[in-house]
Order: sequence, then structure tokens, then C-alpha cells
Amino acid sequence: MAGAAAWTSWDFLQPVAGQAGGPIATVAPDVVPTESVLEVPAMRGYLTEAAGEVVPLYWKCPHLGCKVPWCESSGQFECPCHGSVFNRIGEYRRGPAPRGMDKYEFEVIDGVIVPDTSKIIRGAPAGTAETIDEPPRGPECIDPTLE
Amino acid sequence: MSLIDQIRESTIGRSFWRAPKRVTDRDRAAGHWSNFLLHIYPVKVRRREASFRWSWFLGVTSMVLFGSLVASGVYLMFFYVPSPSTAYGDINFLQTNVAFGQYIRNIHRWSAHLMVLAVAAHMARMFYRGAYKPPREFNWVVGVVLLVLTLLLSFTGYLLPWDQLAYWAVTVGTSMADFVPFIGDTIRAMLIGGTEVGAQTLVRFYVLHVAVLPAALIGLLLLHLWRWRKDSMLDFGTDKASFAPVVAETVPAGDQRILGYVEGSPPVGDRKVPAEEDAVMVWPHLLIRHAVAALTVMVYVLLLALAFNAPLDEMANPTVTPNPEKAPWYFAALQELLFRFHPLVAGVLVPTAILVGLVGLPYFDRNPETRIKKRKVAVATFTIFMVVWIILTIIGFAFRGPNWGWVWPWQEWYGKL
Repeated sequence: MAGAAAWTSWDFLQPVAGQAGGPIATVAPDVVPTESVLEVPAMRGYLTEAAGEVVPLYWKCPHLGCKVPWCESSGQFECPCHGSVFNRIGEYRRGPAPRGMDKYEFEVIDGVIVPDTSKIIRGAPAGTAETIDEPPRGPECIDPTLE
Repeated sequence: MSLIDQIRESTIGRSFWRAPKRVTDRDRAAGHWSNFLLHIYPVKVRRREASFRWSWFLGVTSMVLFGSLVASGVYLMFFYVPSPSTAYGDINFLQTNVAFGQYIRNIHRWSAHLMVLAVAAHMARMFYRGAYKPPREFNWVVGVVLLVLTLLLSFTGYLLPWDQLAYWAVTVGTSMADFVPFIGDTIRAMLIGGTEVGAQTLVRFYVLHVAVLPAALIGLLLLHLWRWRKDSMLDFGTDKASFAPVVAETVPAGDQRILGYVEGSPPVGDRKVPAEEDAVMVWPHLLIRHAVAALTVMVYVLLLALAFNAPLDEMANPTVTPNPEKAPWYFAALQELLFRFHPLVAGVLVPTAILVGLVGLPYFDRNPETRIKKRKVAVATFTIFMVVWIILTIIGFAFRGPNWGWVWPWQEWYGKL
């Protein structure tokens, strides 16, 4: 009886398909900035570019789920909750986050980038070397002495 | 005969007042047994069990606060629809347009915070008294589950106003589940009904908050009280002085046969029962104290609700995380740990260890002593843990500002209650 109840509840309470996101049409690839990011609220993320390749980032911090804002002055992502910092393409720099920011799988359909928000690719674990060479270009939005 | 006595003695009156007037102890006992509410109490308790020092009345305080939460919560339900498009507006409407709306919400909010405090303090008091030792191990475990239910009730209620405070505190709180190995993602998805806190989450938390968790809490609370009543005269502790040995009555030799052995304490000799002069009638000695404690707590809550309004932030906005983002105060210590350690350690291993430690306490600690001086290891461990936890809570609550950086309390970056 307990097994049946647990099994039924387990299946019953799973999120219904379709409520976990899906494909979202965004913009053409040539609009995506190369030295900054484009915030796309509809896909809950940012679009940027690395080595000619589009990078659709999920804006959620892999630490505890806060939205990671882009800091224009330093050219990196800086999380207000616990001070995790990521580079322009979401790779881990410092702070308590266990990995880099997550990305979406995407396709280019009819000249438009279409990330699928239900298909998330996890960021590389903290400590993985960064693949772009973009040190902070100016003052950080969060105070770097706060550690 | 007074009018009241005449009513009592009438046919209808006697059907309502079935017990005799409480003149002698025997009447009081009879009144006790025939009363639905009173029968959760034993008829007699030892004198010291009725004293403030014994329990600080924290159990009865927790119960009164729970009653206050149920009552004020029912009022709030009349005006609340759990949907992201209406929830925030409903709370706003309640505060601004409904007679006593803000006041009822304040009572609910302050009772909730105080209940978390009271339940935790009740547990600490029971620890220092050694009340988790035989025969009360099981009731201690029930108590730990009640503490967890209290925290879950408070946490699920936190989301319902659907303001920024609620949205992000719950986002951060539920994200911890992600770090549970293997099933973390699934558990989080089931809890919030998707990948992000949204409409599904609000409905799920609402159902948990108003139906599932209160029902579970009430059920376990009844078990807790029933065990308390059953165990209340069995706990002899180590202060043998207050118990008189049972003296054997003289039985003529040759008149008995042994029919069998029954396990338990011997009928004579070592068996101890409370000495008659050490026991007091619950009516009125304990009841009057409980009544005073309950009224004091309620007056305190009502005054708090008059003096301070429950906070309501801006409406939840998934695109902007407030800075700093603070979890509810009872999770501030966890948040501080999450800042310092990997989430698997701070968000999963530490809470699990605490829970296992609390549940297992009566089984790890086999020392039958209840006096603090004779339980140095247990008392020191518990006290150090508690002090560290309180310090972490205070740091998280008052000493953390934007980006979780260090600030001083006079810079006023407090968490919101």
C-alpha cells in the first residue's frame, strides 16, 4: 500500500511536460554582440558570442538560482547573492558557485537563433580553464574585497 | 442556591455539566476524566512539573501560537487566491481595504516567527532537562519531526505574498535541493512544479501550507501530547529523594500461588511512585499556569501585531534579483554556510547531519543521568552547536549587506522578517 501510494504520488507530482520551457525564437545571429551580451528576458538568459559561435546563456546562477546580472564596466557576470563571478561566456571565475553558468541547446531556424529552454547544458566545473582571454576591463559592480 | 447552580441542576444543565462540582480531589479527578479537552492532561503531576522552571511553558506557548496561526490563517484564506496574477494584489487589497486585514496578517506573520522560536526553544529546554531519555525517546523523535514541520510551514507560507522577498528567498531555498546527489533535480522539480519558481510553485506551496502540512502537524501533535501524558508520571529521573518506596503489605503465607511472571518493575521494594505530598492536582495547579502562559503569549502577539506591520516588498519579478538577497532568518545560518562552503556540504550534508543528530540523540546518548553536571559531553556538544548556529544566524541576518559582503548592524542591512 505504502509503495503504491509513494509511486502514484511520485508520478502525479512530476511537472507536466511543457511547463519546463521550450524553443523560443530570439534574434538573428548578426545582432549578437561580441564584446558584451544581449539580455533576452523571454528566454531567461543572455546571448553572446565566442569564436564566431553563438552562446545562449541561462541567467540563473548555478550556485543558488539568483539571476546573474551582466556588469558592463568589468565585462563579466557578477552574482549579487553570494558574489560568484563568471566571464562573458559564463565560465567560472570565482565565488561559491560549483560550476560555470548553464547554456541552452539552440538551433538557427530561418536566420533566427532559437534556444530550447527545456534543454540545458551544464557549465564546466569550477577550476576549468577559461577559453577566452578577457580579464576584467574595469571596476567590478560588486566590491571585489567582499569575499 | 445561586442561579448558576439552579441551571446546573436542571435537566438540561446536568446533560452539559456531567461532572460534579470540583470540591474534593475526587471530584476534580472525575471532572478530568469526563472532559474531552482536559483528558489530554494527567490528573496529577509532580509539584515541580507545574513550575515555570520545569518547562518554561514553551510547549504550551508553541501550541497557543499554532492555534493563533490556524485562526488568523483561516481569515487570510477568505481573501487570497494562489495565482501569480492575483496573489500580490490580494495581499495588498487585504492590507488596505479589508477591516482589520493588515492586523490579521500581522498576527499571522509574528505568530509564525514566534512559533519557530518557541518550538526551537522548547527543544533546547527539553535537551537541558534530559527529557529525551527513557522512557521519552520516541516523543523526542516526534518533537524533532514537529520542528521540521514548523520550519516547512513557515517556509511554504513565505512564498504566498508573491513579493520579491518571497520569490527570491524561495528560489534560493529550493535551489539547495539541486545538490542532493542523484534525485536532487527531480525533488526540486516536484517541489516547484517546473524548472523555475512560478504559478505551479505557488499552487503547490499553497496546498502544502494550508492542507498537507497543517494536517500532518496536528496529527503528530496529538501523538506528541498523548505520549507526554502517558510518560509524564514515568520519568523518575535520578532524584530519588522525591519518591517513596512502596512498602509491601503483609500477605498471609500459604495463601498464594505463582501463576506466571510479568515483566516490569517489581510490585514492592525498588519500585518507585511519586510520594503523595509531591503530587499536585492538574486542576487547578497546572491548568491555571498554562492559562496564564497562554494569555501572556497572546497578549504579546496582539501587541506586536499592533506595533509592527508585516513587510510586503514589491511584486515578485523573476528578472531582477534584489541585492542583498536574504533567506528567512531561520535559514540565515544555512545561507551563511552556503557562502563559505560547497553547496553539497552546506546545503545537504550539514542539514542532514543536524537532523540525524537530533533524531538519534536519545539513542546515541545512553547515559541515564539527567543532571547537567553529570552529562558534560552531551551538554557541551549541544551548547557549542547551538551557540555557533545562533552566531551564524545573527551574522546572516544583521552583518551581511550587498553581494553578501560584511556590514555592521548600524548600516542597517537587516534581513526582513
